[in-house]
Amino acid sequence: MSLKSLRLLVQHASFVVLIYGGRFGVRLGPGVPCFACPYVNGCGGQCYLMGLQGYIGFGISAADFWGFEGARALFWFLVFVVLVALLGKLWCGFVCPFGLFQDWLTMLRRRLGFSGLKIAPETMAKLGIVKYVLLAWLVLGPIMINLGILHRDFYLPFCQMFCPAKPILPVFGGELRHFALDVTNLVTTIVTSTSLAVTGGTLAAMFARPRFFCVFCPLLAMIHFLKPVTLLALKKEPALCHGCGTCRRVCFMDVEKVWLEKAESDVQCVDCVNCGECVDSCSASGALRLTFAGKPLAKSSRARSLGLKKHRGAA
Amino acid sequence: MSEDTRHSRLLARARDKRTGEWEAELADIRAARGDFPGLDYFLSLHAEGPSPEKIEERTGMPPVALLCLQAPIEIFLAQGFFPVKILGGSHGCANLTSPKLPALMCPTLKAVLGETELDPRLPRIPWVLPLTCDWMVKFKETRALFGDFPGPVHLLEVPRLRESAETGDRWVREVSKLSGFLAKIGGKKLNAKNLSKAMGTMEEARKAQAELAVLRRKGLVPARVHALIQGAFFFDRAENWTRSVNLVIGAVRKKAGNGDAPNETGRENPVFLSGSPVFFPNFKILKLLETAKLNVLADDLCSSERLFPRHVAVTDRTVEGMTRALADAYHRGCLCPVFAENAHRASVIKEAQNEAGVRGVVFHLLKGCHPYDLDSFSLEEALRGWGLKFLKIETDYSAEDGQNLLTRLEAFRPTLNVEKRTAK
Repeated sequence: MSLKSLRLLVQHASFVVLIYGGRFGVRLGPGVPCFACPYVNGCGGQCYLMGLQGYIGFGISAADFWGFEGARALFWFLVFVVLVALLGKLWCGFVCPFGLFQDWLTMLRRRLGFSGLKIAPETMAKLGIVKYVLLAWLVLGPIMINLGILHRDFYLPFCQMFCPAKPILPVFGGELRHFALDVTNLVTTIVTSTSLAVTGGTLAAMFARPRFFCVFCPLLAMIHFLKPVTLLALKKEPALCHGCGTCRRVCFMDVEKVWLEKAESDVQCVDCVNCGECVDSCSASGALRLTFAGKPLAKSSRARSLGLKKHRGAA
Repeated sequence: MSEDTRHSRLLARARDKRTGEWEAELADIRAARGDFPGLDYFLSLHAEGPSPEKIEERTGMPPVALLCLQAPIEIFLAQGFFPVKILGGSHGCANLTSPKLPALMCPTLKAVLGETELDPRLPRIPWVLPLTCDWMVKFKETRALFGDFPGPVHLLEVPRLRESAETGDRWVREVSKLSGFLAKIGGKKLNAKNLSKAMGTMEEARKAQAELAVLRRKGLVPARVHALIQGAFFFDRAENWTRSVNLVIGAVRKKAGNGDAPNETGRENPVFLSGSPVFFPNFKILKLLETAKLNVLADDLCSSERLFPRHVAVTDRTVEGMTRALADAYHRGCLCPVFAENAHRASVIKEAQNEAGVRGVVFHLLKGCHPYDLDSFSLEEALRGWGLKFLKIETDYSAEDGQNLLTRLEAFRPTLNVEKRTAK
């Protein structure tokens, strides 16, 4: 089975578990390293970013930090670290329900025959900095609320204002209310109108360019920070690379490092979501490998790229 | 004797020589490999020769002469043309044009020019000339030395840099211009349906080529047989070629399964053949390798395993998306030495070392092929680092140096096993 087929299978299974799992008793807790949105009615797990901003992270007051709340925060942080260490960015490529939603939009666009939006790699690299700004916002926002610098209605500042998954994913649970404008006060008006503007713009961009939001995803940056303890990695054997650039073209994140790297074997960069498209498409046998603890899980080959049955010593 | 009479005599002599070369090579392959399963189809295609009329009759598509392989075959097929690579392997043809050309010019192009002299129909069909090496850049003007070139000629500019977005975009525009040229002369435009169909056809050809390569790595396909199969691609519809290659694959597997290997020397003295292309009927280097009992298990010749890109990955089925996919595969994936920053040149050799256990590289250099000559030095250095032996053979189409080359190849053979013996 190609990684692409396996990925589609896992993505859809994960979508069902993370969006509807709660209705069948699945409770994975708030340490899930992907956009398993807690705003979805009956979800099976919760995105770690929400907990991190709120009740298990930077939303805890200084007074609670050394008590039960602090221990709980530490526990879920460790759960998050272990999950990332085990699967790395497979969470993004194979599990994230919002990633799948973006993939559906891309499939729809291609089915309709639209070519999509081309954004220069340099521009995307510059835009990628936004993910660190958002990460800083979701860390500093709750602290500022605790310190009284920000109004309480900014609670969960990333989710409320900038996360497009918050209004979109609950639709799959039958809820549309997150698309409503809350005019209770000036702050709620600012917060909800920002959210709607971001969601609208992102939706259009996600239709025009594959995985557009992932470029800005603060969770992607967080997972990448844990790269030194992550067991899953994308490796390249530069001596075997033909330089054809197929990896670059099939990459919906527009990662160039995998193609251009000529010396290092480590090509796991921040924007790579380990979807495996490059490994599937590369016709240079053994040039690219998806590894777990150094052992290859999947290896590029001419036979794999052409969808042929694997042969011993396949060319 | 008038100039015209002298020229007519020269042409007649060259035609006889060329016919003799084709017949002699085919007879030799028949005698040596006649029992190879499924070879008759490929022999018969070569026997009929590359006449434009016959190709049009066989394929049902008007032929377009193509030199160099950067022009995507799929574009031609989608727009109702059949790309014919003019085989520049005849010594007689090369000799015919030699007096008007530099002594150290690529013999392949000399031979192609000779073919256009011998067959007056050839210059009248459309030509696509990818501007790769300097000889190709000057081809159109050089051809003018021998008379009219009335057929429409499209010059396809090939950017020498492959790793920048700008040259990538420029190349996509060049490929689109090629499509525009074909639409102008044929009236059929490129659309998602015809391009997708052509890409499907070529994907099947690629699969057959890959399966054949697997058997070759196992030592089951002799060098000349492999070259004959690959060369026949431009004589018949891709579907027919693919079907015939698949028949060969099935028959060879069956034979090998019964313990009856179709190549008697198999995997002994495994080598990789690199360098300048080898075109029918000039299989001199391949025959010498066979005689020296060096088994070619893989190659990176643009006349053979690099005949078309290994894979064209399509993510976007729009015309633009597919054109870009093709453009990338035929440009960035091309290991021709005319490109700058060609560090990936050795990758296929490393791959063959891992997969097939090749122990050495025979570098076939046609005199006058300067890009390959230049590349051979850096390649040799890279290969020595991987423990591979390297032998550069510089030759032309004449038979005079055959014995000398054979002696060198035979002397090269024992060096392949030096480390093995020392280890024992």
